Amino acid sequence: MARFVALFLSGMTDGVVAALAAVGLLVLNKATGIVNFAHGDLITLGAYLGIWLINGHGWGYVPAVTVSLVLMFAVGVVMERVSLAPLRGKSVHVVVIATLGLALALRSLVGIWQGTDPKRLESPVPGRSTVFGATVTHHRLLIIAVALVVLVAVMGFFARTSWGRQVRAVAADRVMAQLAGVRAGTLSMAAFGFSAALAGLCGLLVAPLGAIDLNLGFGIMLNSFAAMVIGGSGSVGGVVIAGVGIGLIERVIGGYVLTDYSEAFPFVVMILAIALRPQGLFGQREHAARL
Amino acid sequence: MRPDPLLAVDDLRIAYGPVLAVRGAALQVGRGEVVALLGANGAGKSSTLRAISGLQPCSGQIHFDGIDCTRTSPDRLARAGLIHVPEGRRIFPTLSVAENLQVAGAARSRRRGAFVVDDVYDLFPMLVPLRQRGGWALSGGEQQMLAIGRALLGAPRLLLLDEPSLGLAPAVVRTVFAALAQISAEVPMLLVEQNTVVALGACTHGYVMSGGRIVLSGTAAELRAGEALLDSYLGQGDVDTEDAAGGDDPVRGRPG
Amino acid sequence: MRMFTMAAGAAVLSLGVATAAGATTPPAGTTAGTAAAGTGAAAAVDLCSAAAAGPITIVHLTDVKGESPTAIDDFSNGSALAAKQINEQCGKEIVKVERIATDFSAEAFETNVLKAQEMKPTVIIGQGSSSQMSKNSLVTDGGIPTLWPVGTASALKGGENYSELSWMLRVVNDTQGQVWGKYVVDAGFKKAWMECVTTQLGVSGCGAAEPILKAGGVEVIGRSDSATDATDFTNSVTTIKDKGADVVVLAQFPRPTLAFAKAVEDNGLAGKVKLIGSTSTELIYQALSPAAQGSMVALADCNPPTDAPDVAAAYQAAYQKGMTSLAAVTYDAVFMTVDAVAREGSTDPKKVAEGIASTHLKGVCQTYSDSGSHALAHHMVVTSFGGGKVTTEKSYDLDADGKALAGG
Repeated sequence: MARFVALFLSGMTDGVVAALAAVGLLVLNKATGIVNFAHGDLITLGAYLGIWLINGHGWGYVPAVTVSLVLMFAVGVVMERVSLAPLRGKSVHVVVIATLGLALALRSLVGIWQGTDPKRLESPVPGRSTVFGATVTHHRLLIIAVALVVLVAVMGFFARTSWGRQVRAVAADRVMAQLAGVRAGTLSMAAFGFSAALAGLCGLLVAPLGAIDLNLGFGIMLNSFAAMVIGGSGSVGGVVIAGVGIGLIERVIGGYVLTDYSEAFPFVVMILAIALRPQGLFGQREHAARL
Repeated sequence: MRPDPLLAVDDLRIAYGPVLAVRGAALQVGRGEVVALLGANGAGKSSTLRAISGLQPCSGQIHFDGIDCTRTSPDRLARAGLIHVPEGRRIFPTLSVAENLQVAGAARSRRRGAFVVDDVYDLFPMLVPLRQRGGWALSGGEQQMLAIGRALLGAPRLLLLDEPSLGLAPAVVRTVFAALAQISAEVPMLLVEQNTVVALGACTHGYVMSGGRIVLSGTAAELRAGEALLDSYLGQGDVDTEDAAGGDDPVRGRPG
Repeated sequence: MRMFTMAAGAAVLSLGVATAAGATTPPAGTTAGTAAAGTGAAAAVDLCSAAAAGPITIVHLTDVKGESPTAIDDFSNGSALAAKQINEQCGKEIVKVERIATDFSAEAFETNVLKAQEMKPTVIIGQGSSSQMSKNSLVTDGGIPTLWPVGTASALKGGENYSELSWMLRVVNDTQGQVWGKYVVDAGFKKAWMECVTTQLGVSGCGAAEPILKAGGVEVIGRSDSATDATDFTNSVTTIKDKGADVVVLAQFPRPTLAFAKAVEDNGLAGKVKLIGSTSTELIYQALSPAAQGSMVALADCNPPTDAPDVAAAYQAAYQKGMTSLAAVTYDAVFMTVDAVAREGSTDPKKVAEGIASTHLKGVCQTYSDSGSHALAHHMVVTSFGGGKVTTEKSYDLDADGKALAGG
């Protein structure tokens, strides 16, 4: 039981973080059609902003996280303005390659700024408890709680607010959305900012789990790609379920069988999902082609 | 005597690569008017409409109430009240009927429109039970009604309608045009139609396009009177058109 | 002035003991060095005399901060400091280190080594990447002696990646495994968990540790092989907790090492389980919490602050960080090159290669010598990190085949 609880919590943590990252990718993809390969490095940047403010300047967690998220939003907007807006109208492939270039640039810049030595960030809730014999760090519970609240809020935002509807309208039919008066350009910019802020939140949440270095975000990005594909790039809810599912499969099932190969599980599931349901497990066949 | 133009198009030219789709067209829509733009398939009607709403690069002059449409983005024109109901309706498939209508709030922006949501449901009572249905699950007729309703909630000062009758059953065409007749009391329209009979029944004024040029214009009555000439430009009137117009079409009896 | 003295002085000491074909004295004006040179003063060669053989150019294939996302500055810093000290001491530019930025991939080596060879340097210092040594045939083709701040068994004489012009400055990876095993047995641990990394070249030295553990009566309670970017060790740590291991052979890359140490701490095992990290641990221990630092020891080629305090102090002053063994081996590589040129009186590649093959340089890290296998290093230390500083716990001398001999 202790083992199961420990594995379940670790799977949940990984899962909600992958889901959070995947939702960031999805929002951007919906609003702009772009798959952003710099997402992993945005996650890394978020963690380093936290270290910079908390360790470097002695800020409290709440102001540091708030300012980091605002800065991440700004980074996303600048990224869109400086490097991607000029490519509007070019093939999606060109833009995707551009995001790969951005990823490398971002990584190098963070390396120059913060150095390449691994860093450590203390958790704001450093304690631990014993649940069914398993040691549970409070930070993992914090990650799960924050991520779930944010995910529910994001889902609510897209389902219920005017901005959320407009993003979904742009995703469904960009030209028609413009004919309906939607400021698609502004929305693209905001989506970049929002997506970058979500990535930054991921980085800030996972930073105290281990060590922070320039590769922090890469693995999270890979899992979030799998979550996006499995979830079907149409639905936020589907992507969240897929992200959490991936984390649990990787950790819980991987904790009992084929342990040394558990990191491959998300991708095996992803390949199966693509083979069986190209539109994703939660996407709707009827309009899969239009998203 | 026609009223001062709300929309004025002059010397409009549109090229798709080496092919000229529109070669110097001019037309006007005044306040209170319903203007039909008629012509055979490929005459340049839809291209003209797309140029007016800012979707199509072109040369020439297009002015909507003082705004230069050739230099203004489609979303900005929409927020100024120039609302385009495009060919094929283009309902947002992932949004419900109610949400499709809510998106129009972007075009309405801070302006006040003549129509509210209840007016749309009054005009098209068929949509009422479909409120929560996804856009992808609607029939062609339902989509057309929703597209018009969505346009009305964008507080239009001029409606551009591209082939609203296309692909619809005759009974649905009658419903749609009955609604357009009511709407025209509030909002001027520029209507592109291949269904000449229906269009001439609905409009106050008409233009006929052929080969990218305006070849004929006049009041609805004048165009109806010159039916033979009209036919020569529009090609053989097809059977569907006659069927759709019906014997005593209700639309005919209601000038805008 | 004083900094250099100690460095070169160390070289002299070693040569006296080794009574090699040629001995090196520090440049004139040194104090400790001259005094120490007593044993071999007659045969001593002045490092500065290398200038007579012509300019010495070393091309260092290394990370350059900002140009490579995986940069480890230590390699680059070590060779830079050595060249600066030699040139300052001799009063003229004797050795020049050119840098070519590279990452750790084998592909990067293919293009960069050709670029380096075209520059016709005296010696090339390679990247600290054993996977790049799989391209060692390019070293043979290029004809320039190449020193690697890394070691892999496959590049020993008779191995598939052997080159007669390439030498390894650090203990080869299988030997690390043997030191792991030996230390666990020597320190009296009873139950070991093996946490091993899988790289392109297979599983790290873990395999070599296992038979030594078993022969020494240590129970191996389990083993996990994970990728170089593993982030979650809940499974391993849960098993360690259940089965009560008292030691972990932590043969992992830097970030997984930190994540593992954190997981051990989070599960309340800090102080109950000793972690024995790999040679990269010295680069990253500062990112561990104080509790995790206290429960960790690691392998290293040397511990410069203890082994060569003056050089380490000069390094600290120049770069505002502690000198690691990685910095020490590239520092030593520059001295080894100048020493070889001074003794051979030539910068001809063949002569320099002979000079390296016959080296008995006592560098910062250790006394280097090639017993025929092209492995120059025969010494490792186990260090601890308690109190946030690196302390040598035990040192091991190794024979030519890399078998751990005895703890010191």
